[in-house]
Amino acid sequence: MARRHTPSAKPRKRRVNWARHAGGIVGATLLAMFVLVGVLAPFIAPYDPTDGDLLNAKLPPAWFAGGSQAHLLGTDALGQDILSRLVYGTRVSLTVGLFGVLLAGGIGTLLGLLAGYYGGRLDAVLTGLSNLILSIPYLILVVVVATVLGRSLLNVILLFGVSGSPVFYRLVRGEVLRIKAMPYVEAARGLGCSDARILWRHVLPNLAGPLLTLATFEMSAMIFYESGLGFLGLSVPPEVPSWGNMLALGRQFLAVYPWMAVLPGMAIALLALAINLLGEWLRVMLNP
Amino acid sequence: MFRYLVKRTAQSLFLLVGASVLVFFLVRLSGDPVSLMLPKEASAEQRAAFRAEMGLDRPLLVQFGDYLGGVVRGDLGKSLRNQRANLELILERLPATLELALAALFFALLVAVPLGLVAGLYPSSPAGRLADWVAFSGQTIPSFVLAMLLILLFAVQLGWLPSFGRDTPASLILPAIALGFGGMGQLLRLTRAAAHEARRADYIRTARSKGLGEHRVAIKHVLPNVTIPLLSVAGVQFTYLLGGSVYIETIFAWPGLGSLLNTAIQDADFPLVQAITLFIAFFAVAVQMLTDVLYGLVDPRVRLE
Repeated sequence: MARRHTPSAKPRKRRVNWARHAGGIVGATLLAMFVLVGVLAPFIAPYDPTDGDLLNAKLPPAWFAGGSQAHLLGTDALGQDILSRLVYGTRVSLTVGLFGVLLAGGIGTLLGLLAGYYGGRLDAVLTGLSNLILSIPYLILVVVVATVLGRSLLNVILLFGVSGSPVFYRLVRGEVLRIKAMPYVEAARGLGCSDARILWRHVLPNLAGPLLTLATFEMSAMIFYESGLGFLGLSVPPEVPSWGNMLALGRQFLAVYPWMAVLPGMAIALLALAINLLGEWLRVMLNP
Repeated sequence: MFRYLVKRTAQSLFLLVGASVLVFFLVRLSGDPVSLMLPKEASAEQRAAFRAEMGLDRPLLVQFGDYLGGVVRGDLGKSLRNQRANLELILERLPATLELALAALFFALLVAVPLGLVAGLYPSSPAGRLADWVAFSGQTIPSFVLAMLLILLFAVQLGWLPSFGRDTPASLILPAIALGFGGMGQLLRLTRAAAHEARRADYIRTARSKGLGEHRVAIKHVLPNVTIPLLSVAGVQFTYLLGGSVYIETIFAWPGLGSLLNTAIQDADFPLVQAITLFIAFFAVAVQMLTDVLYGLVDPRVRLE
């Protein structure tokens, strides 16, 4: 409800409610830092992330007894610098999250627009297919396909892009069915707009809010799944520094050298926190 | 109700057939399954012999027909490494997985329902804030990271609970928490939203005006109305838990389907991988159908859709 001003009062300055935006600001700042770290990895990382130094293997972080200033966060079982691997690992997680979501969102949105707008047999086939993919527990599906495809970054992105598309498809199709019945779409059609123009100019802009919100949550989910696959030894090749691969190695030494698994675990949680804070803020702002 | 049942059964049948087709082709996505199952050093003759033994030298369509016939008869093929029927191996492991998934669901509901109820009825209370926090943390900590943290704290540091195996009832606690934690947030949000809505409903006002205490109103009038949407989501959650069990069972060496799948993957035992995937997909479809039917029984509006 808009607050009414008394006629004599001067229009009050609009105050920004910082408390409402705190989550969004923290999330965006954190995410920006991760992106920066990923982009500038070669300049930030103190060592080559794949340089193993077996004489200095299994060093704890510098602030623990036995730690060394030369390796701030310690080294893993192969003597690789953990800080450097964490820094480079940011690249894998962000790349998979970003391109996975772009691909899944692209496929899902395009097919959802077509199915929702034209309906009929196309809709029946696509909806059946998406229900079919959604009926298989997602983690099982991903694990099996990753096994068959083999370990590579491109395969992981393709896998998430295709298997993640039904979620976007469902959202878009449902929204299109609703928007299609709106008077302004009717009017546009009456004025002789082509289908493509109606979809592009009248339907798609209305989808931007929900799509963007879904995309952020899906992005953090894909980052989880990627590290989960890495943890099982099914994501990028083992020599590539990724948080999931670090977890897989660290797990074997969990009881004795816990930092090897805890540090990448914290990195994943922190990145997911950043994206979810941003997503939550977007949800509140865009879908009032 | 009968028409709804028929419709829902038809849908499930479609999903079962679809899942069978999907799994068959997914496992063959790479083109040549033999190269995945045999070591790189295998000679051409060895490969050919293996292909013939597995029936992989026949046309794809014949293999597919054979496979589908097997599925219908309940024959899911034979494991490469164990030389035993896949279904036998699966059924041996199934109880452990069901036990873990049910315990995880129970844990999630145990936290989500009371907390969500209080948070929905009194959003600005401390419980409301706690609920926000709990729901959010479920999205930011992956189950496998939580699992390792739980092991470090309760098994390594404190030594209170076992970190692996399935020997005592206590070994169920840590895996169940780790597996249930992720889904807890969703159940919590749902309970909170439903309770929040119920707060303003006419029947709640009536109950209050009859002079019922707040606790009685919450338990006797709000809770039953929260149960219905919870039921349908719990079904979805359950299939999600079956998937998550791959990680959790692997970490805790829990002898269930998830760890069997992981071993099969590490051994490149593709017939077993295919069989487990298909079995879990079938199971998920069945659970979904069951919850939908229950939902239809409880809420007549669903049947009309």
